[in-house]
Amino acid sequence: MSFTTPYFTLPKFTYFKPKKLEDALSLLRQYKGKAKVMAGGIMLVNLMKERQIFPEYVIDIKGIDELKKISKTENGIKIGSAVTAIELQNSLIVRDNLPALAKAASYMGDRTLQHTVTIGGNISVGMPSTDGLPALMSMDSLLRIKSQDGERTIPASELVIGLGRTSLKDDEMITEIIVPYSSGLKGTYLKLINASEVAIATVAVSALLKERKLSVVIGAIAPRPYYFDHKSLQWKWEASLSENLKNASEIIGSNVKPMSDAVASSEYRKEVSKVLAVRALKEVFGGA
Amino acid sequence: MSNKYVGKEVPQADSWLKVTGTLKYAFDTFFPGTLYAKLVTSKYPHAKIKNIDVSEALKVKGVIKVATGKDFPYRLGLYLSDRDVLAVDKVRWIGHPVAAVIADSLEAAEEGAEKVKVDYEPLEPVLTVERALEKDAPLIHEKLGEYRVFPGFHPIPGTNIANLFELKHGDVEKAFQEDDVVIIEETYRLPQISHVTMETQNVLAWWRFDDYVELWTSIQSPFATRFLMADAIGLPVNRIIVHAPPAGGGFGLKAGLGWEPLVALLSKLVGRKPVKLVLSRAEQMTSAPVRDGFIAKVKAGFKRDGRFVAYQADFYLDAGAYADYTINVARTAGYSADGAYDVPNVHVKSYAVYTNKIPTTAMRGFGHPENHWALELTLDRAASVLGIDPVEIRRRNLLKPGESVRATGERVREDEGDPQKVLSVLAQALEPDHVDRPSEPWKVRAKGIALLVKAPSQPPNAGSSAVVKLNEDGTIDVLTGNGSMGQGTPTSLAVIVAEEFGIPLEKVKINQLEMVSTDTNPYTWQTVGSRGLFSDGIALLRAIEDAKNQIKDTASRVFKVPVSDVEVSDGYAFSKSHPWIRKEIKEFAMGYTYPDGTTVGSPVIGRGSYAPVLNTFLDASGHGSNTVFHTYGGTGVELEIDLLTGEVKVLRAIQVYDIGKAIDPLLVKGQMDGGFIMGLGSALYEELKFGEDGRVINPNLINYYVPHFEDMTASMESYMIETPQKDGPLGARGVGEHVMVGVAPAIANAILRATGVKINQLPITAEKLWKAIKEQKPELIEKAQKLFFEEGIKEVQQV
Ligand SMILES: Cc1cc2nc3c(=O)[nH]c(=O)nc-3n(C[C@H](O)[C@H](O)[C@H](O)COP(=O)(O)OP(=O)(O)OC[C@H]3O[C@@H](n4cnc5c(N)ncnc54)[C@H](O)[C@@H]3O)c2cc1C
Repeated sequence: MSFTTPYFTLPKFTYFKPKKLEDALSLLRQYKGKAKVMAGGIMLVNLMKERQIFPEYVIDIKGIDELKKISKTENGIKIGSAVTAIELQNSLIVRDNLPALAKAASYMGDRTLQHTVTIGGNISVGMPSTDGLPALMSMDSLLRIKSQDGERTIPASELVIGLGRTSLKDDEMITEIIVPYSSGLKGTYLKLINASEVAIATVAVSALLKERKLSVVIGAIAPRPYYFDHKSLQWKWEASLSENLKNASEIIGSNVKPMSDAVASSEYRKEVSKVLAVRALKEVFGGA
Repeated sequence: MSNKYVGKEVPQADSWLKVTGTLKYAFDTFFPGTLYAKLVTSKYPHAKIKNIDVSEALKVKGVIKVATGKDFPYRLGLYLSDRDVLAVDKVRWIGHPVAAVIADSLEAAEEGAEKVKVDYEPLEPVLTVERALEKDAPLIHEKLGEYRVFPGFHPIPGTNIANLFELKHGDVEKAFQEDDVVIIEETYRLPQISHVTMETQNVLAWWRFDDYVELWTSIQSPFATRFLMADAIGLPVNRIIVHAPPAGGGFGLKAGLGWEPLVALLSKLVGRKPVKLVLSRAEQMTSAPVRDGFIAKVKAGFKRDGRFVAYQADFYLDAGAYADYTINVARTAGYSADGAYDVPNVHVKSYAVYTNKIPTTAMRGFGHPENHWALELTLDRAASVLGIDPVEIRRRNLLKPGESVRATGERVREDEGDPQKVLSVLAQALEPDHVDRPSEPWKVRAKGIALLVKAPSQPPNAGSSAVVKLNEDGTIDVLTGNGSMGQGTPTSLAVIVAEEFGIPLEKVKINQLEMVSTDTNPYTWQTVGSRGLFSDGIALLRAIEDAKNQIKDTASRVFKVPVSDVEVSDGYAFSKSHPWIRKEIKEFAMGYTYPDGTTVGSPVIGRGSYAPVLNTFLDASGHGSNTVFHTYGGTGVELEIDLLTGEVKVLRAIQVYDIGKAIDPLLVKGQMDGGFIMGLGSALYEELKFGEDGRVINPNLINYYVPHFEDMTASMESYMIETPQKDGPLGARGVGEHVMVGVAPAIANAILRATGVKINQLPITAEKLWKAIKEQKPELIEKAQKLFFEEGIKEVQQV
């Protein structure tokens, strides 16, 4: 994504801010194809300003309370899609139980933007450089999707189907994210950017360890994140960590096909993917 | 004198307004009925304009007029009149303004701009300096020979060379052939970078019904803007009134002449209504000028003992489509190529070259980030080849005040500063030979230094003036022509006035903190080149003296003592021989009035002015005397390199400058820290990237990264050396630009010293460094990887 147009203003549109989810869903149906959900609006407004999209109707979901809750049950943690990046970082439920997500949220734009950016919006952008998806995928998260017709639940890994494209239909929206774990996770999120803050990622790695389940997700290097688990990494629980890390890094290296773009070359992305994956693994195994 | 303020840390006088968000910038200026302008810009790098169809644009509700280049047949420019107001006949870069839409709302203006249809006939674009210099390259400025040229410049009509400057000193060829001379040859490059002022360029212009033109504009140099505009469009100078509120950053972007003629002419075109143009960030980074791209081909000869005996350099500045200011950047890079060193044989050719890319202009450092990138890297390369310490090789070659002669033939003044002291303070603070252990075994710690020297690059007659007015209650109003853009000069000027009169600082008001207006403020050539405090400071001290003389004259009559017996200080006029005979200066402010009404003297208004003494243009060999002061400095860095990823983290920054006198050390420290961070941005991150057709592909602050808070180097130390400049105001020299010059070379030198890896081109991104290490020293990465997999793991148990 590159922002190159000179505009200050937005194309004309009609703005709604419903208080109830049903109203939002009904508007989405009524103006199907012409309406866009607006969560934080950080990407939506930019795309409009860039004259890349021209929605006639904008449906702001920040007024809907049920999309802003975080709750914990024995079966997992539920996060409303309009929860902001700051709220994720400040939530004790998230901080204590889902460290990778809290850390990923700390990368979603700068401190100011994080008051506005939402988790639902972040993953719906569908761009490789957004931080929410790799973190959610590493935790095997599910997405609850609603429309006027009803609801469906999909694994987070099935949301993005291409560069900037998602499997959501025009009148659907994500209402909730369900992380199927509620405690005992070891997780981390690491990101390499050619900067110290707020820049497009070269590579991002989210790792999760829960008992004998391990997953490593590599984001930002291709349209969709790469998912590895202990099986695909051929992890040997009896062998030394050092040996496992070498092996895992080779497997990752031979399975990722990173893109080359203005941010980084494919070759470099591949190398640093391995490095960050190993760092993340060391961290979840407590040996950083 | 007591020195109540001079040398003390005084915060900037407009800090309160800034932190409360209430300081008024040009951007905030608005009048009822103001119209909005929007630019229509070229989609081609080089093309003939066949037709411009504005009919659809005029149908947009709210659009009032569309102007095109033919409406404004004027040529603009500071040192070379190579710019048009809007493109006439052909476009020269992607982003070149072709038309301007004026409407009663921004929405309508933007919609109108979309609807202007321009037919082009594409011409072969010239996108690199290499191509531009080929014999058969298309000409970007066919009429180069017809442009007006400032004295001392040499465009070459019939080529794409906007200027060629040559400097000859001694005989380099002979020196290279001497025995015992080690030769270093390198090609260095710098990318185009943006000034990234927080406040983008913006102008509100009103061509009044009485044919006076008023402008509110975000600029550095109101008088230069006024003169250049008057000259270009044929108005008497005082018909143009330039109001310059404090600018939200300048850094050279806002020097010279900007968008003022365009917006003023638009105002006239729409029936003399006020018109405002504000550039968006994308426009700022595609249609407005940036810093030149730079190529240096360098050959340097050193004796085995480290003596720097010959320096041959060809500089090519990629000036883009317009070079009206960059020709002086190129000239300056050329005449100061030998930096802080005494090199007996120097031959420099410095070219400013047109290409079909974004135009370029002045930027902080003005040729010195360019030429010092080449020079300071070359010194460390030589040091490493010769096995001499980087500090030592510099020590052996530094200019000697009072003795040495620069390559321009100018003698190094006795009171010019103390380069040896700069170097030794830097070395003591940094301890370059002592390198700590890295935080991880796969990282390396490194230390590096760079020195620099810079003088303002200005015409020989670049003058300044100042006025000091006493008010009834003894408060003092001060007027100079210096633009205020965060650099703090006005605060330092206020400090000087408070000190000289011995009155509380609160009683001094510097009017340019709110606005410099060419109608009210006295003349200053430009606020550039770190000349502000120096030149305006001298003028101000003369104005203070003039005011004091007026007070003394009146007081001598009141005290009935000779004028020579009267002194003005500590807020009083008094008799030196009978100190109990004294009165507060406010009693003389409007002349002295006796109880019976009899008045002696008159309102006190002091004036002072300054112009350099005996400066000249440089001759065909680059010789002459063209500087007023030089400031020496040095930057040291300590950094850590991650060999696995190429990431560089600067841990410690040291800045040392011989500034003559720190009138306000807090402001000097502010410059040193700010300049370091700006230098860090250019060293590690900043680069305008071009597409295959020459367009800027990252004209926004997501894809063009500038330092954020997290980038602030944890430890920033500043050292101020005070070797007084005899003719400087209270001994001071300028320091605004210098502070960014040494940063990138110090970082590159640290990397070289710690790893042996050469980096010749900025920015040093993580990937670029990683690739360089991989190419030049693959064994470092291999070793790091081995440690990375093994270190810290053995003791970890798996679950
Ligand atoms: C300078 C800058 C730097 C940034 N850097 C990063 C970064 O490094 N990492 C990072 O992760 N993010 C970063 N971001 C933010 C990120 O790219 C997105 O802009 C942001 O996450 C979008 O969130 P939002 O809530 O504002 O979504 P919106 O802009 O409101 O929506 C984005 C898209 O998702 C759709 N949408 C929103 N909510 C839903 C929903 N509940 N269901 C279905 N569709 C929905 C919208 O219709 C729209 O198409 C950065 C942003 C900026 C401006």
